[in-house]
Amino acid sequence: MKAASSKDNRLYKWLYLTLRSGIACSLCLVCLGFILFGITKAEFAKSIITLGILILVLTPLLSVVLAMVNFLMEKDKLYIGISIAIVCILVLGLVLALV
Amino acid sequence: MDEISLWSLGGVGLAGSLLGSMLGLGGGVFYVPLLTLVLNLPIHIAIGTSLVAVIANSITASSTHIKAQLTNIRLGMFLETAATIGAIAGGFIAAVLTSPILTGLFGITLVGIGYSMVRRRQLIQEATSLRETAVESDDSSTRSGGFLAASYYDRSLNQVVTYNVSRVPQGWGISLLVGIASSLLGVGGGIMNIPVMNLIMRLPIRAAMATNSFMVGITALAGACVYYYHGYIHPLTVAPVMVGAFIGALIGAQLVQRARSIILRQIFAIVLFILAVLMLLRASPLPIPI
Repeated sequence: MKAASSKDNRLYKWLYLTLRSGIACSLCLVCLGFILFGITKAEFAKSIITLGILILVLTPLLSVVLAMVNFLMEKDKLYIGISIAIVCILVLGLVLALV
Repeated sequence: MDEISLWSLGGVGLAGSLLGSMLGLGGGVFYVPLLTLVLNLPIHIAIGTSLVAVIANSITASSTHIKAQLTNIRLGMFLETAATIGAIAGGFIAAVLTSPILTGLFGITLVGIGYSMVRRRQLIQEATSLRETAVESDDSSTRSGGFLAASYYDRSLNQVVTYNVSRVPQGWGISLLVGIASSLLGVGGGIMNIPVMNLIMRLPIRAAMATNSFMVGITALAGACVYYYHGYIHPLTVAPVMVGAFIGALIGAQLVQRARSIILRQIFAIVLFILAVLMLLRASPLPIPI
């Protein structure tokens, strides 16, 4: 028994899949990185760990982008605007951090 | 990195997020004290590390809440327009503050929240009772939040709970402050966000916790960007905490859905008290070994 509408079901499903696959990819890379680092002590193992963390931090951004796509499909102007605003703020922050 | 620090960092992540996600928090309230007091990390690095662990914790917990359709995604997105701006501002404020000031701020904030929770405990019980949420839907004062109205299936009550959202502009303004505080202290913000959504915006506690766990990851990302910019996020320190945080959040989120709201509120109140006392002692200039 579910309370949400069918439109929301789509958004819930997308976000669920994004969040779960994001954390899974990130964890696999971080664990792989640690195992390789433990065996070889090589620099590239650190890069794999860093990549895993990068995927982790990009997952919330991806979930906002997918919510934006969902609102675009629904033609929900208020929430298209809201999600674009959040994406802009986060991208600005990432550009500041990484460039 | 030696094995001891690897395991102890992982242990901090596990313990923090297990407690945190059971209470619908990001776990940051536990990470920062543990990282600074037990592992002697500088507070800025502890906060930066905490923010990334908070993202891991949030993703894990919120995916479970989203699967159960407890999360009010529209409300979360709306409030995030304020929280992300606040988080970026908070990161820059933290960078100019000294370690003792940041440590003191952490303590003072928790004391304040603990005190307000005691005073408002009765109010929370009223606000979250099913009778109250049913009355709320006809209340004219909730009309401003009509476009954010939502419903969810409550497993412990075995029925669909429908609710409206009150005082949306006030909630937005407070989210800005929560964003600043979250990034300043590395706490994710649930400890402030949940009472605000529950007491002021009149969300049922379960929906408030779920919506918060969705928001926290986005807020923490905005804050983490600024900490990374200032060199306070070290991947090899963050990674073990993150793995521990994931495992703790996974277990915690499973437990939260099976517990009744009243038990959660009691745990929430007790943990706030304990943290407030520890932080008070920590903030004092006396040589107390905490």
